[in-house]
Amino acid sequence: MNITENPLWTGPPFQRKNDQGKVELMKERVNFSRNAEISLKNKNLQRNLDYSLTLSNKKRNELVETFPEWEEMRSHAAQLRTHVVENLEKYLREFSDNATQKGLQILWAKDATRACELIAGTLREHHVSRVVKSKSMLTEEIDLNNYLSKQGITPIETDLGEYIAQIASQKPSHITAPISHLSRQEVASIMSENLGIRYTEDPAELTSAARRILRSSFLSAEAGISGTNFGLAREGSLVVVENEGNARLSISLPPIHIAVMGIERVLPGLADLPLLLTLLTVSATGQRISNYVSIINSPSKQGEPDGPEKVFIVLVDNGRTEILRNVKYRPILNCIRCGACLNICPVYRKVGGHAYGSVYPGPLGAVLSPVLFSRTQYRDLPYASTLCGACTEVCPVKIPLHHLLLDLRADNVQSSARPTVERIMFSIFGLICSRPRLYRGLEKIIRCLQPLIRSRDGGLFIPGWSKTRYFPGLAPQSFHAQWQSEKMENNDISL
Amino acid sequence: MTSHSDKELILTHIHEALTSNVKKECPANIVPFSRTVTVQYLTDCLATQCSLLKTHFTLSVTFAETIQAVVEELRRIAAPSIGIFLDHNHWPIRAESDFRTFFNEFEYSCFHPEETLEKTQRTESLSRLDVAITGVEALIAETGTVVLGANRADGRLGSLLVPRHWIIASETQIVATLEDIFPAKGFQIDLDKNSCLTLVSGPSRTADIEKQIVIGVHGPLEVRIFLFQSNPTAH
Repeated sequence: MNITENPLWTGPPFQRKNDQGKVELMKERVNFSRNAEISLKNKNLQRNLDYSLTLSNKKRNELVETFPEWEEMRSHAAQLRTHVVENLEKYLREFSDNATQKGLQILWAKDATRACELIAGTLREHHVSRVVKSKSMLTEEIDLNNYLSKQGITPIETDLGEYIAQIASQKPSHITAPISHLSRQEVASIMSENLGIRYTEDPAELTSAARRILRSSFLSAEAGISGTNFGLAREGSLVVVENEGNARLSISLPPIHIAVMGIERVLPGLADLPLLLTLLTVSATGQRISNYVSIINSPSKQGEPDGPEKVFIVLVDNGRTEILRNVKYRPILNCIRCGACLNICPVYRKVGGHAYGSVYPGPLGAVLSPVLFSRTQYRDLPYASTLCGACTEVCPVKIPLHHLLLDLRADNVQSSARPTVERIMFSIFGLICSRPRLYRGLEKIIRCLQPLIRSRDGGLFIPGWSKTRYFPGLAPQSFHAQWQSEKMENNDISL
Repeated sequence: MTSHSDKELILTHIHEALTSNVKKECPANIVPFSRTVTVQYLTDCLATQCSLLKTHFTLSVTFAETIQAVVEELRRIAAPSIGIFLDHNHWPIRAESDFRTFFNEFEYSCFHPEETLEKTQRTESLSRLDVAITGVEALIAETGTVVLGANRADGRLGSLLVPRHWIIASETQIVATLEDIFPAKGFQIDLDKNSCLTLVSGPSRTADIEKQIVIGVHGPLEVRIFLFQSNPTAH
């Protein structure tokens, strides 16, 4: 078992199929408890997470209260997303046919490698050396930036948070608020050191510096890459949601637009958009609607003064059809990536996104990472939860996240992935419990020995456990013994 | 039994009371009540949402008064460079010459829908502008949103590259909800005519640094809606 020295996760671990078609793991197993321990000691991280996530939840909750029909909206959306996933083939075919008819070019990628190759190939074909990118978790998932850099193509992140993460060589720690782990002081030093601007802790000034610097990148880029929030099957259109205007610039200024889209992100049609859009933005940022919602229908049309000449949609599978095969975990494909479950999760709020060692952190990531990437690599993540169910309650499409976490734990137990120590301990425990005389004998011995293993808090000292938790010792007399003596004392009183 | 006799008693009393007197005038049939959403109401909703989104909102009676408000605002900010993206469908005055009387004191340029500038040249000229004045396809009251189609004089970039985006629109262009602009509810914006449809709700913003909202990131720093009440076609 390898212990990650630095909990700040430095690259997306994903599986790749080698020439023999065997799955190769790119990274070691993520040691969540070790990562969490490091995060918990980081006072600065604790302060940043607490501050920004409390604010996010507050904004979301206040806005949800203004929707009397919120629960009905959730139920409807849950049914709609399930309907889409259950009929994915039909909707994907429809989406692809209609998009192609409108002049959008569809490229299909079965895995991360293929997606990267297709994107880099398309860029090379159009002699692109600089590409602007708007926020997309899928491009993080397929590790596109790394791939493009190796191919001599410079990817420039343009979402403010992503841009700051990129210049600091860090990975986003949240799916919608990439740098919620950083304080304004940290952002100020990152920007002044890497961009040569004056040190200032004023977010407005930092933002305007980024605007100035990135504007020239937008103007000089030969292509733009964006993510996709929804694909509309009936219309063959793409929907991109954002606040900063960087996605609009990325998909409007350069002559080439490449949209990367997970195959599960389709909706039947435009009529379904208002509901899903509202659920998404309210849950993600506590906004009634995002600042900018772009519905892309085609490349620039005859008579339009601007817009890209070519639009490509890269439809990425990368493990999604594998999830589809397993009915139990299919609901995770309903996810619309709002990030509300991250904000509310008591575990995420303490450890932050990097501790999960995956592109997808939080309750969503704890379910998605093992089933999408690797069960062994992300074996720990289903335990990164208190099972309080807050994630399930907050999910706008009602994914039963904490039930799925339990299912994953059950899978771990049933597979050999269970640690040897745990297996031996439980078989001994079972052996003792099924033999009453042995049980009572051992109980007496432990009761006599327990003063020797007292911890400072008065409980028992259990290595590993007692560092952060209290383990109550055995009572001076067992319940069984107490019952017997009570009965003897009161045997003249009939109950 | 008593209850039954009471029923007959009460109903008989009602019958007697109503037949022994003169009948009041009333309609024979009543249709279910349906609330009509007035333009006034939609305008109020839009104004409220705009204030939440930090979109400036000005309401005038006529188009001429709206232009006057625009001119006053231009004087206030002393903007040196103005781009007017003519909206042939929704503005009562269409020709460039019509604007001369209003804007002669400023340095302005007009962009026509049919005009085709070379792309880099257009980007450059847009980058020099301080204010972009455009029309819209529709406005959404519930969310304070304006709907922009790419197949217009401003295209995709006219409302994006310029730091101040000012919108001149008619009150008749307001719809109630997001659902109303999509085909399900009938009000149909022709998707196929536009390569891109953009819903804009307020100036661009970010909250990436410590959740503090900063207005004006990559898109416009300021959005103003100048609404006029009179129907442009009646002009």
